[in-house]
Amino acid sequence: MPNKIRFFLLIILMFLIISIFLLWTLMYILKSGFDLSSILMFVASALFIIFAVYALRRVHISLKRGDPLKDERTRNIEKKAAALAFYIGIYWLLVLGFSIDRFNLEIPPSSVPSLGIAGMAVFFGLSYWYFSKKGE
Amino acid sequence: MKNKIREFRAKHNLTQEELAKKVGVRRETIVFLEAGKYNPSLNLAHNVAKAFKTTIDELFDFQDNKKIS
Repeated sequence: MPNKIRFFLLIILMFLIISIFLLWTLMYILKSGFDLSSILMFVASALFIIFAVYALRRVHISLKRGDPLKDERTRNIEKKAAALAFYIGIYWLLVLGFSIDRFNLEIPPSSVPSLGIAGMAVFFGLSYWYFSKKGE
Repeated sequence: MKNKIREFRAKHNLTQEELAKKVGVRRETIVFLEAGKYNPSLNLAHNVAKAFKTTIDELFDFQDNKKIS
C-alpha cells in the first residue's frame, strides 16, 4: 500500500479512536459527574491524544524524508510494546478490580472493561515511547 | 554491540540518510546502530556489510559477547 494512502488511513483511524475516547469521557461526565471513572477516562484520552499527535508527526516526517514507515527496529518495538502493554494491562485490571472492592470506588461495572482497554492503550503508548527512546 | 559503521560510512562518504536508503531502513535505525544501542538482525547486518563491500565480522565486534560453548 502506498505510504500516502497509509498516512490518510492512519489519520482517519486516529480521528475515530480519539472521537470514541472523547465521547466515552463526555458520556461518563454527563452520566455521573466528575467521579473517578470519568477522571480516569479523561486522563486516558489526554494521554492517547498526545501519543496520536506524536505518532502522526513521526509518520509525516518519515513521508517527507521518503523513509519507510516501518522497518525491523520499529516492528521489534511494536512487538515489545504490545507484549508489555498486555502484561501490565492484566495487572491494571487486577488493581482496578481490587481497588473497586477495597476502596468502594464508585465505578459502574459496565465501565470496567472500557477502563481496562483504555489503560492498555495508555501502557502501549508509554512502552512504545520508552522502547523507541531506548533503541529497541 | 560495538561496530565500525560510523568509520565505514565516513570512508565511503555516505550520510546516515543515504546509508538508511541503501539498506532500506529508517534513519533512526542507523543512528541507534552506530551508537551500539540496537542489535540488528542477521539480514540487516548482512545488508549493511554488503553496502560497504565488507563482511559482518569486519563490521561488528563480537568479542564482548559470552562464549557459547
